[in-house]
Amino acid sequence: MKKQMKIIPLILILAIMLAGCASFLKTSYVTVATSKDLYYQAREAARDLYAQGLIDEETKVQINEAAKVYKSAHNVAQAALEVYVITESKEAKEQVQVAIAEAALRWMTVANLINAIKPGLVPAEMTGG
Amino acid sequence: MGLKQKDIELIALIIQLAFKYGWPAVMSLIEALKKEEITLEDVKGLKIEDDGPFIP
Repeated sequence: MKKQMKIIPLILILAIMLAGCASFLKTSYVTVATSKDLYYQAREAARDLYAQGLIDEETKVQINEAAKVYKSAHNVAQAALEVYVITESKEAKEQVQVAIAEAALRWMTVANLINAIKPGLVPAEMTGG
Repeated sequence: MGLKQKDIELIALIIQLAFKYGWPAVMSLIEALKKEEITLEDVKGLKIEDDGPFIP
């Protein structure tokens, strides 16, 4: 049974957050939490595609490498958020924003590779759905 | 008394998301949004741990 990707685009999450005038911390927490969900749901989708024989070995290597880079970028954002929780400094806040933006870029690489196999399977952008 | 306009709009948005993405995804989002306080432990839990290749 094929599972449908159910990932809420971050722009919608942000719309909800803004509607409630949420703090930077809460907004960033939800963003990074969703980034983590994206990783695992994309992994499940990629594994399903591979099991179906739709990913050749060369593409598998590319996807694995892109996912590794994305995971690293996500964890940098997570670590930056840890620092912000502790310090609540302006510099830490900026680091979180930069790190989240970098993770969003790295997500696009993963998404492009997966969507090249099955269009629309994962959100093309972390902030656009 | 009653819901504010902003609350009603938010509820409507949540219902739309549920129809489009399913309640489990929406509930996960709501749980994160409901957090009164984001603790360091909460953030630590967002790390993606090493558990092997994306596609084995």
